[in-house]
Amino acid sequence: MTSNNWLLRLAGWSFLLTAVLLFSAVTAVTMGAAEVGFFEVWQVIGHHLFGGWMSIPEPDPATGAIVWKIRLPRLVLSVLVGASLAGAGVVFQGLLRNPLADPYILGVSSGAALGAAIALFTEWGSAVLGGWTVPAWAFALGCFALFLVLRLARVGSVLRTETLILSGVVIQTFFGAMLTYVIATISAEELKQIHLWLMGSLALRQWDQTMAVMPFLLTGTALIWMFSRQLNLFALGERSAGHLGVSVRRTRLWLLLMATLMTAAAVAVSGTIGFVGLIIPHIMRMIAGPDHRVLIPVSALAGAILLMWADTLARTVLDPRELPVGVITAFIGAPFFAWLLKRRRSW
Amino acid sequence: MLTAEGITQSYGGTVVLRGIDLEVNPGETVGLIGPNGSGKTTLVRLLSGEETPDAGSVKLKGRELSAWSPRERARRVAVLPQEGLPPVAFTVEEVVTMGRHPHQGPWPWTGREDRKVVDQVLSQTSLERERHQSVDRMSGGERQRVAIAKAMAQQPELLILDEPTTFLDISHQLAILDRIRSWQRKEGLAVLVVLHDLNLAAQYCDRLLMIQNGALVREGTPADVIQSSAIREVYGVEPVIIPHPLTRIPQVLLRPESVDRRSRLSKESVSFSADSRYTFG
Repeated sequence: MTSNNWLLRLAGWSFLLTAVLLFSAVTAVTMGAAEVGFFEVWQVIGHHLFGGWMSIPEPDPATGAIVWKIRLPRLVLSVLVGASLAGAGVVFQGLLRNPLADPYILGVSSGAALGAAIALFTEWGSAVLGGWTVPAWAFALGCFALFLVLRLARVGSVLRTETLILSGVVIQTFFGAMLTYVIATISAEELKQIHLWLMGSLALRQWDQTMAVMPFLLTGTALIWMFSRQLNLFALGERSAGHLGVSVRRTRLWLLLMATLMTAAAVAVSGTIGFVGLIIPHIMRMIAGPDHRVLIPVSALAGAILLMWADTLARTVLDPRELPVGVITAFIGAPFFAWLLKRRRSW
Repeated sequence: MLTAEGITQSYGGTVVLRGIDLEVNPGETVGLIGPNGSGKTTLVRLLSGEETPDAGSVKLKGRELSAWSPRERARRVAVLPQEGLPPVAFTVEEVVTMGRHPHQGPWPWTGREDRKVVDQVLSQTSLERERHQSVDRMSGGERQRVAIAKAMAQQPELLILDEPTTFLDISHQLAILDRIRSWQRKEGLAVLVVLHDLNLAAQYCDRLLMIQNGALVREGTPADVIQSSAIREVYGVEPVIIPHPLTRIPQVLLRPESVDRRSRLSKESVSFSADSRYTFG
């Protein structure tokens, strides 16, 4: 009998990773300057979610505020950002059939960061776009950066790995310089912000920011999962995918836009956090197989776990000072990238 | 099944195909032969709907090929491109299941009917033992077997193959072509195959189309097309043509230049070649 064993794999890995995620989340919330116990965290969460029906008392208002107002929104945000960067990474790697593609290396993150900075500091277009100004700008410039990179990298009709990475570096450098320029001219006194956008940080994020990006990230992941069978066919080459009934151009455009939108939403709240979208799809492909029906959800979960721990380290390692979380992911990701370059197999 | 009328195609001012007419009927294997650069691969791209011709029309079951949606088309036409199957990390079973894509709904999972077809195909192609093996650990010849199984799972009515045997050794060449022939006999499939090897083309095709510089120069049974005059004209080589000792189908032997100079020996070399085991070239 032909087994539907991808479903078993999906169920098994999802269950395991969700358990790790939940356990990590509660542990991470206890960590920090103020002492908070493991059970107090559960109590606070229970109080806020189910306090209406069951009478779960809050431990004490100070602990409650630290957990619910400071640590949890930031933690949930790190989960969402990590999941979308990893999900976008899976899509970029699958579509471009290139194991080194990810939103950061392709320059999408830099473009989106520039867009978000322009929106935040100039508020151009906010009269029309309202609360959507930042994500809209981030999305527009993220798409523009991706378009430039793909145009630059295309030699004839082939997309070579080396040129793709070089084009990414070129665009990243250029957009990074523009970002620094924009922030420096517009708000000289807030130069510290540049730091945040260039290296990525989740410091001082509140529930409203978390809630603003949540719909993009959740629907984005769900939609790319709907295309997972098509992504599998892309592994055989675009021509073969076409022969099997995939509308290649439309599917590719749609997936690139979805992945860019997810990246842009993540970058709009966190700046450019590198390497999550590179490492996670790779590791998950090695352990859970190449099937995108499994790979997309498990990568999202694993990306969430990685960024959650990276952010926890970022805020505790130099306590009371903060490290940008991108520093932590680069510490892990850059050596991984180097290792990949050395042992790269052709797909 | 598939008819083309007056297809003409040019790229950047260079005419690649000029006014080609052809027809492929159910239950028939049509071979496309011709030298490198004669336009065979372009013709395959046009006939499989990857591109539309500048002039002329390609019709599948009487309806313009471009009018079919990619999905509808893929339910009727399977294509094995020249590159074959890349060494992907998917298992044999997963790759064969990919052939079911045009029959599946929008959701990512696999239906009961799909699993039944895949099981059947795996047993027909004797790939059952390898079903959980990863394709990137297989040789080129084995991968081509998987590619054919994938095409069978697609359940097409027309199969288009672009040089399916190019990179294979003789045993795999025969295995692949025999597999396609038995599949065709069973399902009444229409097959269009580009072949480099004239001897294989003569043995496995019902009809041959010979093209040169983008135009159809000869058409007919292997006996009509595989003739010294045609091969000299199209390929610019001087062949020796003899009937296959078992099937009487014409086979082409090549004559190196040195033999030409010693023309008195040519008769002997012919009889030697006919006895030798190298008739497949």
